[in-house]
Amino acid sequence: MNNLAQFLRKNFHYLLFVILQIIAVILIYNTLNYPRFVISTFGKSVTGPFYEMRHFFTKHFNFEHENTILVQENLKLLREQESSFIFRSDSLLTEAELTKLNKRLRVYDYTYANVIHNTVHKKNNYLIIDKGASDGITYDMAVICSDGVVGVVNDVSEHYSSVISLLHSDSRISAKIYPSNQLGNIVWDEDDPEKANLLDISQHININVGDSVFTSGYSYVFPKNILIGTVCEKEVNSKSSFLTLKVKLSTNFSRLNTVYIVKNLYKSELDSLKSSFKNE
Amino acid sequence: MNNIVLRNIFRFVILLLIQIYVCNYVHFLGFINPYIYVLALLLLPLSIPKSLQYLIAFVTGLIVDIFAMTYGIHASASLTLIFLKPYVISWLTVGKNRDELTTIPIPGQKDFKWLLIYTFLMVFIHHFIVTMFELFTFRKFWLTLISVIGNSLFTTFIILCVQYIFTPTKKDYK
Repeated sequence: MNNLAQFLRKNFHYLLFVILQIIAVILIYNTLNYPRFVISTFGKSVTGPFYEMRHFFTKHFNFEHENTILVQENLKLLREQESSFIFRSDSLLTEAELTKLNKRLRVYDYTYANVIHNTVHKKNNYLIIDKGASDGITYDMAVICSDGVVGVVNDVSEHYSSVISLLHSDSRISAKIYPSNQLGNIVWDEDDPEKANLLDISQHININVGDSVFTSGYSYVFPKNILIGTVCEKEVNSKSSFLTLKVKLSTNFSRLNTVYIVKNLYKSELDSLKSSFKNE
Repeated sequence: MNNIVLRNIFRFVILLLIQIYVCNYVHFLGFINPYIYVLALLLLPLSIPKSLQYLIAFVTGLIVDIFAMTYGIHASASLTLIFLKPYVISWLTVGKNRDELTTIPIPGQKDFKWLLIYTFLMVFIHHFIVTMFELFTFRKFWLTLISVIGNSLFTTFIILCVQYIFTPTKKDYK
């Protein structure tokens, strides 16, 4: 014990040196931002892999919650799209009437649903989604997903709806091809769930393989400018005046999960106009 | 004895004042910033207890830090300087008698060459620590080293000038 005390007394200055040096380093660390940043970055590079490992296992617990948040965000973005509105500034109304009305008139509203049943390889394919009349779904609403067009609502029950998929012999979607801006119709009549035919494009129109096909917006079921697919085959048919075009669909129908349902807010108005048109 | 203590305190105060009011604002050529207060530490007698030396060095560095807003950097550098001082002196005076180790390194006691090497070495150690702590990176290390050497040379030059101008006669220190 005496020896220890003697040793300490003899070497006290070394201890003091170390202590003071530590104090200095602590001061440096506490007051200067850059060293703190460097040291904490170094610390994070050490602890990072551990957290990453933990995250690797725990991230799955949050997916459902994350997914709903993302779906809500997508809905918000879809609602704000330009194609969801009619801009009335170019109408026949006067300035005063325009300000009374909102200049921007919402035409399309969106909601989402989950696909609970889906077929791909039949001749006529249907989907069933988990939203129905109680959620405001009605006949003839468009169904899209983040990749592109899915189909049209066919039948509605209280909590579920059936959707005619694009992969159905009856489905017919008005389409526009870019950049030539020609109107055509998308029809599916074969067994390949990845491809559809684009009809009614005249032979003289210059179309290249790789051109994009969008919805035209003329049916008022689908909003404008939703991607349908890209042209993958072009054939000049000598018998008819139209081109035979095949479109690679952008939607992967075998992996549908969350879909968005498009509601046209002026559907009854348009329907009555159409019916009077037919009666004439 | 009393005279030496007072002389040291006076030297510390004057050099710290010069450091704080003048040298901290010198940015010669953009990177040369002399730390003249090192001279006070260099002239600190080796005969006083080491613990006291360390405390003096730490407090001196801290005072400079407070005014330069770099808390701890100069304290650490001064502490290291004082810690290494006896080793540097004994390394430079190898083969000579032990009495020389306790003499104060001033122009009257040592020749110019010895003083130059000693001052430059100590100043370089100090400046190197200060600069490395300030930058806190090894990127552009050689460029940093060159600027540290330049800065050290400048400080050494000033310190030697001060020493040769203000050296007391031999009689005072005997």
